[in-house]
Amino acid sequence: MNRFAHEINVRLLILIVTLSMFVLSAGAPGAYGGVGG
Amino acid sequence: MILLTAIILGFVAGVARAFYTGSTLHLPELRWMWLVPVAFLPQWLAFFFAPTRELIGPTAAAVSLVTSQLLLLGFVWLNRHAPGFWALGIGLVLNVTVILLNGGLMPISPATVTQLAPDAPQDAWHVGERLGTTKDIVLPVNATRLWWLSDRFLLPREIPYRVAFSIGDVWIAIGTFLLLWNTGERNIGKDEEPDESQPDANGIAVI
Repeated sequence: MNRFAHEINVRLLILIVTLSMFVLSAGAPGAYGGVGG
Repeated sequence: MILLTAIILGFVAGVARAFYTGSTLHLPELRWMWLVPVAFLPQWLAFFFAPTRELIGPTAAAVSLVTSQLLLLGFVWLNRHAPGFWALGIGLVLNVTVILLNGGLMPISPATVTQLAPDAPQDAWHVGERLGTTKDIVLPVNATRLWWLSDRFLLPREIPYRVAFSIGDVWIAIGTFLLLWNTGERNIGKDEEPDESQPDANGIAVI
């Protein structure tokens, strides 16, 4: 059970990080004095 | 920030959905995920990492942006059957289209820049040039191809964070939300044994 939960947590973390990189790259919002995202 | 907000909202909604349906989170099996960090790297250097973004000129920035987004299009196509990817694809195609048609950066009108940064010094930005170290280039509306796909929307004044975004960004936010919302979907066969007395998709019931 713990191993299953750990695997889900790691995969969830990878998904969130990947999705963050995706939206920061695919989107193009402009924020003056910085970068939108 | 607005797109990262979509991730947070989608994640919270997905977890809440799983909780209320008595389900567990079902993470999508995405293919070629390594393409995303590979696509992100040139943009990180050109737009996000302060020591390098100051050094990268507008042409190299445009090449970084277009190359990166074309790689992401490949990633979206490979995962087109995953939840929300249809919306991610629409948003990406809209953004890539207007970026490609306007020289490799996302156009933004002088009027929008003025609203975005009303207190900016007069020489802080110039028409026809990249807006600071962002992905945007300042172009008049009449010189912008498909201006309606450009960064032309602003958040309401009540929200202190000032950002301009495109209709493509809205679709990307929707796709992100849908992808994470679907992780909380009740999945018969994983969460519980199916009721075999009910007909399946082919109308077949096991009695």
